[in-house]
Amino acid sequence: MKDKIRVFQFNETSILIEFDSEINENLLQIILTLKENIVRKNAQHILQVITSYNSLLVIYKSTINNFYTLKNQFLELISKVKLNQKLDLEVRKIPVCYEEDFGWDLQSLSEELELSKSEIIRRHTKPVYTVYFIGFLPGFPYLGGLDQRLYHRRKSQPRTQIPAGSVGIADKQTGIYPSDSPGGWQIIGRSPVTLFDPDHKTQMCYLKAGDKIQFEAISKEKFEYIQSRSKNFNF
Amino acid sequence: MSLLIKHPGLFSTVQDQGRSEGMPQGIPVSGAMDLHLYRYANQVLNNTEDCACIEFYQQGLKLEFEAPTFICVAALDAVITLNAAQAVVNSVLQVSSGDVLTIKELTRGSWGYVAVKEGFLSQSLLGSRSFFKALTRHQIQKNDQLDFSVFEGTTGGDVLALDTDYYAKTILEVYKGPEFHKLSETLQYQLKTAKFSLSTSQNRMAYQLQERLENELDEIVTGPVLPGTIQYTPEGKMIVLMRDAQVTGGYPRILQLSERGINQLSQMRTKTKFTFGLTEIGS
Repeated sequence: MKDKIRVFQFNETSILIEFDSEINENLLQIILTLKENIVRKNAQHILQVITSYNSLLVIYKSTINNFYTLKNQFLELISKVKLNQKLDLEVRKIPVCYEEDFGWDLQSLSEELELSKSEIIRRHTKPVYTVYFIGFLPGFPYLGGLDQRLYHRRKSQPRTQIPAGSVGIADKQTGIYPSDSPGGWQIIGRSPVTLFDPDHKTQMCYLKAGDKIQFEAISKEKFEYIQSRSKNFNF
Repeated sequence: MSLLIKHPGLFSTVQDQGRSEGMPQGIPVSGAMDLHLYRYANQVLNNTEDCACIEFYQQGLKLEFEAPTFICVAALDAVITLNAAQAVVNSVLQVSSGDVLTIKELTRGSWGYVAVKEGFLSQSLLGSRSFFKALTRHQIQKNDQLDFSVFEGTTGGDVLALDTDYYAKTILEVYKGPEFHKLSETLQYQLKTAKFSLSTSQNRMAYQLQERLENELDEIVTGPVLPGTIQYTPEGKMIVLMRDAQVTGGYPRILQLSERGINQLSQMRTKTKFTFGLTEIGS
């Protein structure tokens, strides 16, 4: 595996570790385990580690002057990565209302994909999705596991405002907008769950890399009930 | 005690050195656009480096103090007044209750800082007071109040000269970005030698360059980016990510500005011409 790894100094204080291999859950587990091991070994020097589909960015508190030592240390840690026995992770259910008021593009998607609306909903709620990482917007989860029949390009004209909670499809991905934002994703429903709450004392962000989620179709009445009951994550 | 915003100016915010804690949740680092000038402002007042300042853009800020303290207005150069009288930038200014500070305009550079003894006390989230829309207030508005601690000492600090040479050079120090090696030799040569200039599209998230290069690269698998990362879009545009940039991106990362490069670029105005000085680090 070693020859598929690139260790690259990104700027004065950070190093990028990039895997040139297929993006899948195995790689995600390697990346998340590696992050833990790197932080454990260098906790006092490391400011932050960001992960994405195939890379880690290790950010140090001060200027790096021993890049090659660190590079060798990373390569050694990578060669020793032992994946934990896969735990039966709890699957978090995320309620989504796919009704007309929220699923703005469901009709056009149904025509273009030649699937009925209920079939799109069935295929969207069936898989257990994996959170690969959070990026783009605070709290925005990059999810893996979308049914191939639902792959669809972005809208040619992005919308200027997509409401928080909107659930969309773009290319091979599905995701949820944590806050109001412009965006070009095909919107198929909306969730009453708050994914990102800066006022939440202990857990600002509902999801983190490695989490498992599944969507659950709900009625508009249920949507309004959940929304009225709580701004927090206890739904 | 506090300070009253009589006129908020353009894009004025409270900034400190930013926050790294939220990066895994997709929260930008934020922090002062020009960290060098921000740190200088605090040094003048003998503040610690983390004392929050008001950051302003180019012109039109008017503030009324409701308690005595010392302040420093840091700028490459600016016209400012305290009450009716002309005042000096990059110096220690004593203010009393009722005093009005006006920043008429920056005559050099794009961003300036108002530092106060021991810093402004706006809400701190994830270890920083830096404004960022999804977390805190968005921008400073008219009639806002900002708290600071009363300071009744007799001296506010020691004036040290601002090193303006720091900003004088038109060569910006850059490192190779992770996708630099994928560019053709011709394009690599162009990046090392050609003159570039800033477009009018400039904000705390990104500065866009005026020139376009012939696009050669596909989008990449979404990966980490940092302030100073120079992205290369499918249309051949070059986007320099600044302090409020998102933490991941899907455009090729062709160059990476050094910390000094970011500070220098932040102060450049539209149409300013510069070249990239490619420096080797690490691999």
